[in-house]
Amino acid sequence: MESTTAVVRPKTPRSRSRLRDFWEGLRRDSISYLFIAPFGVLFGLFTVIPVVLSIVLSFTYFNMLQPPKWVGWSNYIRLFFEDEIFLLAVKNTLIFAAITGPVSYMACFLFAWLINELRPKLRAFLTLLFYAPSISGSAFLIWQIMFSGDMYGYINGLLLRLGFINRPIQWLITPQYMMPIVIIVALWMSLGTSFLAFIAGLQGVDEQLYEAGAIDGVRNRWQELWYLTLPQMRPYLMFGAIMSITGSFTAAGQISALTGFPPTDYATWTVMQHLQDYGYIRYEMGYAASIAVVLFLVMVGTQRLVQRVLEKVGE
Amino acid sequence: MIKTAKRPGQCWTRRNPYGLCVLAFLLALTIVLGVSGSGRSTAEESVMEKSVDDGSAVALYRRGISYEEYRTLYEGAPAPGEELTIDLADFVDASSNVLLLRDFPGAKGEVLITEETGFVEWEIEVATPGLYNLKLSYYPMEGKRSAMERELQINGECPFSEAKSLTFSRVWGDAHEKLVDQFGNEIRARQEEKPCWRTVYLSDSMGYHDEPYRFYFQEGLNRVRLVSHAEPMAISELVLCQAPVLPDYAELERSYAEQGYQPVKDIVVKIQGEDGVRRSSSTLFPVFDQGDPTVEPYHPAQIRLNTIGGYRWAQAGQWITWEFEVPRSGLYKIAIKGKQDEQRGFYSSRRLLLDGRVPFAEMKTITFPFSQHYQMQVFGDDEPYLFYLEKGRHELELQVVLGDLTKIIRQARDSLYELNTIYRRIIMITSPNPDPLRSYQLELKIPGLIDDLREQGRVFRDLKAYFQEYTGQIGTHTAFLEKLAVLLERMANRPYTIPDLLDEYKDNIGALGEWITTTERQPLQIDYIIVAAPKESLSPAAPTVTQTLAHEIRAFFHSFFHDYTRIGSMGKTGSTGDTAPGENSEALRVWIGLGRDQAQLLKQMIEDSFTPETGIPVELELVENMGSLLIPATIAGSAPDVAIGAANMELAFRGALMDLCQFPDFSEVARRFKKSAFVPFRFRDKVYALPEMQGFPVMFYRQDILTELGLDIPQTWEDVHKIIPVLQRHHMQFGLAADISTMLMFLYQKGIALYKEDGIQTNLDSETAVRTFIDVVNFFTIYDLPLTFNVENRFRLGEMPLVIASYGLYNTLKVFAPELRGEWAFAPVPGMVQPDGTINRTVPVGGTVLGAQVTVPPGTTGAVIMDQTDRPETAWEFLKWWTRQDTQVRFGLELESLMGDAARYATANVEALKQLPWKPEELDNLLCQWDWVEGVPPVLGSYYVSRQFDWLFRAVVINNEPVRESVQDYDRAANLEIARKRQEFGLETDYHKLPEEIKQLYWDHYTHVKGLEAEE
Repeated sequence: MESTTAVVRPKTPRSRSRLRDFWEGLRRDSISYLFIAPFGVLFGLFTVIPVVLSIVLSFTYFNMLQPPKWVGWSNYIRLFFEDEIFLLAVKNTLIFAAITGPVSYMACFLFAWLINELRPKLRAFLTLLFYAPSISGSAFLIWQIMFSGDMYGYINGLLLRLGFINRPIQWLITPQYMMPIVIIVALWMSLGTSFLAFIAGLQGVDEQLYEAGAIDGVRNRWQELWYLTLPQMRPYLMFGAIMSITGSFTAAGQISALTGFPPTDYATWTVMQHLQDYGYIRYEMGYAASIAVVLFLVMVGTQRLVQRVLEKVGE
Repeated sequence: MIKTAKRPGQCWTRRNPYGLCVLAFLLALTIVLGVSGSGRSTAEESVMEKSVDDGSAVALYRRGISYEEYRTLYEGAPAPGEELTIDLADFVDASSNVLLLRDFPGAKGEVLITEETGFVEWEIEVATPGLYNLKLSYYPMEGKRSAMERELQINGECPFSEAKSLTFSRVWGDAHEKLVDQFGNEIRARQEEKPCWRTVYLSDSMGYHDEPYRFYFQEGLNRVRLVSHAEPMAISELVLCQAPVLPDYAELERSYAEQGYQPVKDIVVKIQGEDGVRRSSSTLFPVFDQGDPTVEPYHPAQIRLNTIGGYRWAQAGQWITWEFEVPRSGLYKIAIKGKQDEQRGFYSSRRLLLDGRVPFAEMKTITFPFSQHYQMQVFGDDEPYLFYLEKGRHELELQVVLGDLTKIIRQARDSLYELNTIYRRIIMITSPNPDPLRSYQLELKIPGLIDDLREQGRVFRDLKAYFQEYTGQIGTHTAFLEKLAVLLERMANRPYTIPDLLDEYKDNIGALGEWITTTERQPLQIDYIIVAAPKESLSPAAPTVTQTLAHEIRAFFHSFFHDYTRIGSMGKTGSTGDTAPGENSEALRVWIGLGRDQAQLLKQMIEDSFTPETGIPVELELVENMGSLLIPATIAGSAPDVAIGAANMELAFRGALMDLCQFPDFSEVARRFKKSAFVPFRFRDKVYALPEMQGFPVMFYRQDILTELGLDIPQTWEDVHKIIPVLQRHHMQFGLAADISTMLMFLYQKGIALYKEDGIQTNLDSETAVRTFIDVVNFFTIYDLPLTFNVENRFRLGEMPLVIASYGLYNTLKVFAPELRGEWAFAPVPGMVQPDGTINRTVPVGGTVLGAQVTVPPGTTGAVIMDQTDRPETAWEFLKWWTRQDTQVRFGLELESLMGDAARYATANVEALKQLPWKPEELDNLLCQWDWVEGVPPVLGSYYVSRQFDWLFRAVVINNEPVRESVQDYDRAANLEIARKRQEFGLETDYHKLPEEIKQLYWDHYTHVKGLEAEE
């Protein structure tokens, strides 16, 4: 709120009256503002201020130990025109996000839709089963054993035993295998929060609508899904989409755990990893902040795009 | 999983289009040959025959004769009753360091002092040949605080392999009364040696043999030689005699009646467990048991050191002695309030000694069954056993013995070694990953394999039956033995299934090792011991429901007022640490990133040594994850004055650390360490840390396997090149890390630096470096060494009998692989022969940030002074004290006392390391390798070099990229990053413009590294 008052400079009488209107509104609805104040303060403190700070930092040189120095646009210039590895990271992130984002989104919905048809007990059980990989935080580490480069790694052991290979394959450090493995593991883990949200959304659809729809001439399940279920679920779909987008754009932890940090030849290097590399290893916080800002803008843009698409659902 | 399993298949066909054709062709060939039936002498067949030859050519290594075999060898030999005392002064031969003393406190007659190395030999005339026990009186001399170890030889040879390491325990006790800190908690007293004379019959220190050893002496002159392996000790008596045969209780009871001993009345003497005066190990200190309101003394919230033993008192041979006094002579009963809550379904066994002797046969093994609560254990069937005690002071000793488990454990351990040997024999033919489609005909290729397997199967069946009888129940323990027996029988009955069962077999070997270590544990926690008149009734040991309830309620309410997490101070002066962190502005703030035990130990050392010495109060803060916390703390201005184990050159380059060279006595202090220890913390003429720990690689080897294959320990890389094919013919490997450390080792051994002067560029593109790189790569391509492996497992199973690893592996193996005791050791790494004939064995050691609970880090760690500190002088005093020889020795020894054998401390202080309990031979090897340690200098952007090197290595080894081009590509990227980083800090980036004096400074820091190109 403060920032809006700061931006709007009282120059003309008209703007002054707007300011007065604002104050009057504030006084009139003070009870309502009081109620949202706790959230507002926390949101400002832990979300707005850090975002603003990181935008400011992205214009500085900051090595975390000495005070930041103002460097203008040079971080951004370097990011887009000099840093080949950033462009590689962008490419990887886009490939990764383009596959895991939509696929996991659709898979989430598909599984949720299928499971919703089942009896309640079975439904609860299957929900737990599908959700399990994402609640048990580092469960994906079993993939590390599976794809271990040791000849005792599960997949190497199996292939050696079946005679397909005669020396162990270094799955997680050989560039051509790394990206597919990472994508597979990400998909395996992706039935997360959005999956639960979809199940909740499907349960919340009013049964009467289906009846009404049948009377109005819905002929099959697809039409029912498209014209009745999905429009009812729009908020849930939006939530799921945001989760999928942020999840796939900021994927880093599981990728590092699988293919190492940094991965061979940057084969699975994502923007988020690039950011961590500059922040924690090279101690260049200013540059890392500029990466974060770019990532932030890209995510906001994608989210707007998805919102547009979702508005078309059911039309 | 199915999805992914397909990929390699596709790739394989894509990348090896010929593969399938060849396979098909071979298949056709086999069919044709199979039909014709005559062409059986194909190439494959001759290969098979060759491997038969190899298999039988290997003379199987046998361990020395065991005591059990020795006993059967001399079965029926008489046990003469005469007592023959060896006159210690009258030795016939001895090493020069043996000392004879006339008057030694507490000893009658002459005393012989033997050092940690050397030997003494006597001659003794034996009139009646036969089996004798050997009785020895010893006194632990001041040494490195570990147990003494001696080898006994009779007539020039060691009679059986167990006699090679006879261990004698030291005597420990509390150094002072327990202390109370300002929160009312009792603080454990420091453990101190309480040396005294002990008389023992030579016996098995691991408890695998219940009775003392009996040695065979021939008629006439015998030579007896005592060889030192560890620690000095004094000897005052050595006697050939028979250990007394103990009467059983019934017999003793009759003699009580004959002598007219009467039971006493109205006497109860209570001995608190924690008051044990002498203990065999420094880890047997009083401990705190809070969960039980009946334990004495008791407090619901504050720490009371009220019991002794527990899981620490579980190893056979450990003992605790209590002293007590009885007011009247007569017959007493003895009861022990103890708890054994670890080994469900088993007993813990103890041997009870009164005044140094076992009173009667039943006391050789007394058992404590499993229970959740303390139990009052009174010995005897219906009536309690009675013990005759004279009026006055007495000693009661409880020794851990294996009791009825002795035989089981011994047998299982021998079998484990046998099973390992069988495994190695099998993989010599099949390799660890047998081809499922091939028939190996193992029963023909390995003579005796089937019999051995069947024999072992029978052994485990017997063990299971015996175990079932012993515990009286069928549980997981017996199920495991049964499973193993079934597996072995299946392998014996259907030899063609062996290759398929090999994985399961291997897993079971590992499980058996674990089974042994858990089963042989004999834990017991003692609250108190009662010596009382037979008619006295004893209070019940288990708490009643009301007691427990009251305890829980009180503990709950205390939890509101009592801070359990604070490390309080002993409060003599009250000046240190009794305020909350940050409140005491006078105190020096020190961060430590180790475990709580280490922090508490350091705190205690600061309070009883540093603060009294210098008058400087210290506030010690235990910080988890120091590496990432130090930076925000520095930004926030709340960084400590000193951080232990936090040396990180990234901080130094950014001005967060203080240059230590500015202190006038720096060069004097630096002499405590190897020059190589400073290299990672030194840039130009500034030094940013004092080294604390320095771990470096050595070569571990399996003595048994090398002997079996007829190989010597390789001294040079040429030797290694010769050895690898021999190992691989038997499907074993040489363990070499596939990373930059190996490359650095090879470079350094040629005297070549990895970086050019001042770290301005890498030296990877020099001709020598490229050639060295090719050598390294060849190990992994031509010799096909594994790129990824688990060192501990492969070394233990013998698949990797030679491995180059940080000497921290020593700690792991000591605990992890008890069945290999004495079968492995370490030596300096192989090297390159220099022009003058000496071998250059240089290994690289870089800097590393300390992780919690580590006692041997993979590199050098250092303690730093933060640049923000306003009391650099005080901080420097602390650093000097902390890295001082006596401080480091004490820290290392007490750490080992606290955490056990696996916590050998890798101090960087050279003189201090010499005083840690390494055996002389181990110490020699360590010091030899340490002389050849070379540091890795800090370089801006060095993270990029290791990154690029790894990728270069993978590109060449895995994807067969051309070497020279790849080196150039990856090296260029690394150099660009270095240049970029140097620009950031305003350092010169043009190699030719670098001033001469800086170049000179760079070379001065090295010890073994001399230039950028090899002189050839």
